[in-house]
Amino acid sequence: MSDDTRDLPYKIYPRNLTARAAEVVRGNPVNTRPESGVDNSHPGLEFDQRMMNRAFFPGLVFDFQYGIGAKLVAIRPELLTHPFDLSAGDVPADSADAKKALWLWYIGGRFGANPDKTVLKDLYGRDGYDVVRATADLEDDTVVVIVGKQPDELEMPSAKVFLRRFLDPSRLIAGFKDSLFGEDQGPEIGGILRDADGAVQIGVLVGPRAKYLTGEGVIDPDLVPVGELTQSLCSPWQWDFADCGCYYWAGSKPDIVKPPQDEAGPEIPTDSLCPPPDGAGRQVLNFQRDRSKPVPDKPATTPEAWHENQMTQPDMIQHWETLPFVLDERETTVWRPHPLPPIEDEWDRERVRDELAVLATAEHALCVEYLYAMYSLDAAPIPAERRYGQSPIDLPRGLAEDDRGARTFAAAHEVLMIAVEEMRHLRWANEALMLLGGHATLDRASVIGRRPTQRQLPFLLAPLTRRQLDDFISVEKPSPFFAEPDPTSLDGIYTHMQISILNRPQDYPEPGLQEKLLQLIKLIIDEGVSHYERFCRVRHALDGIDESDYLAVTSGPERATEEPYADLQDLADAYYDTLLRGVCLTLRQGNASRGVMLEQARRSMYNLHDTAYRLSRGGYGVLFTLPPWVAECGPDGVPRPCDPEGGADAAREAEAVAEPARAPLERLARSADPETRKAAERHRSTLDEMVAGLRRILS
Amino acid sequence: MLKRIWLVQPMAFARVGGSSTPLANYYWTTPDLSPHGSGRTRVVAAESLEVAADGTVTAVPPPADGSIVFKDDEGIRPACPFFELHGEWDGGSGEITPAVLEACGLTLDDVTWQVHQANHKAFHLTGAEGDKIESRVEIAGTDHAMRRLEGRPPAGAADPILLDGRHILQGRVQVTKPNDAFPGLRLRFHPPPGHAFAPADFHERVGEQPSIFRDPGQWLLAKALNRFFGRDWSDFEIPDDRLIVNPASPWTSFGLLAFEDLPEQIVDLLPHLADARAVSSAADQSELLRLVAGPTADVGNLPPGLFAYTVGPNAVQDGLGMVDDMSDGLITCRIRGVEPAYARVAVSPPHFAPDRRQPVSLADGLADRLLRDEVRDPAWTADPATWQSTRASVDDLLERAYETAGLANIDVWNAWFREENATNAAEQDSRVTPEQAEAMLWNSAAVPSVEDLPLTAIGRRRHRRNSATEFFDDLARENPDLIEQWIRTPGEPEHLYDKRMPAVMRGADRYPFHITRRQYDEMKAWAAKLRADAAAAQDGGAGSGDND
Repeated sequence: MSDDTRDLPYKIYPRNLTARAAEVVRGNPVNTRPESGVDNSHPGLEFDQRMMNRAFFPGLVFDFQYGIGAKLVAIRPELLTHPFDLSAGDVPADSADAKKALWLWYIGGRFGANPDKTVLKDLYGRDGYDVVRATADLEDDTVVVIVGKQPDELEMPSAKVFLRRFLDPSRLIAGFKDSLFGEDQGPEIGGILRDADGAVQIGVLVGPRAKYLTGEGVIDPDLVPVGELTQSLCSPWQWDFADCGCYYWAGSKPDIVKPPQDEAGPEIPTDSLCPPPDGAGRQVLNFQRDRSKPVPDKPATTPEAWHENQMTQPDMIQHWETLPFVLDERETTVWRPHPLPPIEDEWDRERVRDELAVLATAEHALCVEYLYAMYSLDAAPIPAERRYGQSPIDLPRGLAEDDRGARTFAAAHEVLMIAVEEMRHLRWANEALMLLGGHATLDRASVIGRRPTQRQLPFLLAPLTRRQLDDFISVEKPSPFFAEPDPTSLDGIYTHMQISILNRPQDYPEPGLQEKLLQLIKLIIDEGVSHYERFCRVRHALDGIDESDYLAVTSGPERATEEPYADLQDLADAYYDTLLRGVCLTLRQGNASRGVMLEQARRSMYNLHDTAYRLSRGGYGVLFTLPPWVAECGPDGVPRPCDPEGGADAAREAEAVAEPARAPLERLARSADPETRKAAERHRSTLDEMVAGLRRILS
Repeated sequence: MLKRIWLVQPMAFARVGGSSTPLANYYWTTPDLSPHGSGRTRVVAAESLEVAADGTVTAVPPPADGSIVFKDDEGIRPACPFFELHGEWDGGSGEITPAVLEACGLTLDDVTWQVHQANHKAFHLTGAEGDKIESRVEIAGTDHAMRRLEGRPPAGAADPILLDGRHILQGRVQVTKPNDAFPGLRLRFHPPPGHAFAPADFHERVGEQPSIFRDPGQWLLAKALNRFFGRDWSDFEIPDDRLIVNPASPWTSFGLLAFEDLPEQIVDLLPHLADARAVSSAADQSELLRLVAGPTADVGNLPPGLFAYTVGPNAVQDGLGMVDDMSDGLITCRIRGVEPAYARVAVSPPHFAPDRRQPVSLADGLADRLLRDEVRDPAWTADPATWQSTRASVDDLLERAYETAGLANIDVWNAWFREENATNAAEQDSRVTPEQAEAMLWNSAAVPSVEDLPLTAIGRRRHRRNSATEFFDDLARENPDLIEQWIRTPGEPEHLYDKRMPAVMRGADRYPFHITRRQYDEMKAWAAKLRADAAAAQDGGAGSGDND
């Protein structure tokens, strides 16, 4: 019976569940359901699912804990489709002696890696863990199982002759399937070879892989009798609960948590710009810590330090009930939902769309401010061309021993990452805007924040002085939790917008629209909070270093008068134009092709990145001059749709994307400096690839 | 006529706790996307059912403030699942009620419930019949009293695991009394508190050491090994009423690596010293134990050593004979004239992060065993009616990955598996050097970062983004080989840990963790469909793709 009191969707996915498992039983909390249990049993928490694998071939039971594979420990002839003359007594009574035991030699059948092909897997002599893996990967189909004594114990050559007949699993399986339809005249459906004393030497059996569940979705009690599902778990359970690293079970036994709210204090300080660097509210505590001992100032980064002062197994047996629960990553004993901050003037759909356009201009401005600040740092260049999933970059050689250099590099890296995220915010704000029927805009705010309620900060390209850093922090600082719903910061505006969208579902009747908007805006809010925290950490990292020691560019944008810097500034501006054109073109494509186009447009960013570093080496910054087709948006301005080519079609726009960079590149290609000429060549090649890529996509 | 019956849930966990109040009902729902919410799954209080002593069921609405109490002054609130009886009869199907029974010519007198629980952890290791602890009750359909599941060793078994006359409470069960509001037949399972029990002579056992006079070598060895394997039991306290394990049972003398066998095992190990060195890291104690024991030794479990032990007096891991009140069981409901209905129950630890989920749950594992083929069917993604379900399934997996990563100290586990990689690569047949194996994971110390836990911070941010549909969709479109390159292939031969997802987690086979074959194939099908749609949109001309 369904629980009709629920008002929000359950996270139950019936298509992913076995028979009867989708049923929601009235009154049952979700932690009673198999979705709450851990499958990577080693040996597990709720039960050890590998206990089912022991009986993967109904009628035979194996144990896997051996270095040479799996040992046959029980025969249940009543479950075998073709038992031949096997009986339970064919498992040697003294099979503790490996020489007397029967071992799993081969499994023939279809495996998940190549489900269309039947193969014979040689498993004798391999570790038992490999057999666990092989049985788990078996497809739900007919399998061949070959068991036998250790090869040294066999009576050769009769065993060889016998075995040779059965090494083509496809033939055996075909024979078996024929036999199911009464066509069992063929001899090849297995067999048993016994020695003179009647002891099994080799057994070849064919049959269906276990279904594991009954037709009603119950783990088959005939296959896995009562007591076997948990027989391999630890005795007592608390011992292993303490012992096992959370690399199995973070969702059940968390690893790293926040302290209880009453010990943590406010996450966002109201009386200072940043929280203290070792603030008590951070998510750095070991859940399994010995709570009678002091908490270290910094979280451990090594296993040895992490396990220090952790509850031991005897502690866990005695005191496991002192463990709190963890909700929203915070230790507690009671879950209390967070009420939404109240707001008086919820924005309707039209207002949300208008505000998104304004926010896009602010994201553009912030992104540029952060980039300018990052390139002002006297730090080793950070490679730009990075694809998803790549490792974090390594500290450049030589910096490991250079504390100032390492801290400056880390700060630069963090600011760059934040700037990249702001680029994504620019994209997401525009995507949200377009979901609401608006037009993408790439105008840039001249003032961040709107009158009358929002704090006004003029757009300012400046090096990463402490003052500029503090301005970044104050822009990103989240509005105090629940206390101040008025939009006074960037986060506040998004907060207001998010609450409006949550509270006015009627404004978003299109299927999935409200959720998509909420996801995108929430992501921007969350990353904004992380920007605040990370800028605070950047501030901390630069503590004690003179600005003159960590800055390479010490002023706002100034026009260079000497070469190659004047040309490089022109080139950087051209790339800025090119990048914006690429982004505009990309945004205006349908959702389905946006991703592949963006990958192309990103190439101009790589060139800009390289150019900015070259300028920085001369003490110059990128001017970030707005191209003529992009406007500066004032505090009360209305952003315009982006349209660099005045209504030209996409193909024409793609051709024009790289145009602004051609002339400055030509000039640099004639530079007296061979390195500059080489870089110009490389840039041209990157641009050509970008245009070709865009052309290919749009053709 | 009644045709067949079944129980739902087919499998339920009864999670232990010391409070006398059962955990209230709650469920998981969509991520908390409120401005200051976690962005992750939320728990929501739901209607609970209370059962009176006479079996009467009443519905209790969730608290007005939406709170859920997981622990109170008495302790952790146990999760006590209901099992509902459903069936199919001439002309209908659904819950079995007295009215349905009557229509089928039956009454509650024709209904019988049976519950059989077993703790075979000790038996599994010793093979001694007397080391089983089992309980069984049979309850008439008209009996609505709470019944105790008193676990005992089999009657008549030699050297039974519990002292004579003692038992371990393995749970309690109650068949509810149907009424107008709740006419269905159901049984509720109350788990035990989650206690551990020890032999009557426990305090003497933990202090025992090999005799320096009888065997100085063993004494010395025990002293040395105690530094690595030993635990401090000095202030361990256990109530007297839990000292009920029989000191004469085989379980209390179970151990691994008996001192008397060690000389022979060490001689056998000599040709494999390089491998022994390879697995002698902190990360690999269980493998060292297996190696010393030898490839044909029965070490009981994978991993071995899953019991409370001390070093000595007789073995490196000398079992203390401790047991617990956990078990798994079978619930059976019989009605005259039809095949019985079954359900499984596993008594389990609490789920300490109730709003967080696993990337691969036991439900996913069961589906992988039986439902792989369907995700390989082109209709899984091609059918517009089911495409949204496929998308939702992939989105959910990404949310679960985020939820798990959000609770892990990734820097620590990265360091752990770097060491394990290095030790594995020291084995004789390794194709890479230990240094190369280490480098397959991240070098946390060299990551330029302003964070205390750089990998943890980066991991959380990436998983956060991945859990946003728009972002990950675009990622899949931008990276044609995203799944193959960044998601670990199930069942692959590579045994070293690398940066593919799920990263720095161990699987059930001790090798790097992977999502199920079914989940993997579904992700591949999902990504292929996204890319195909993108290609089709491009073929249709610029701007032809919709913005859904």
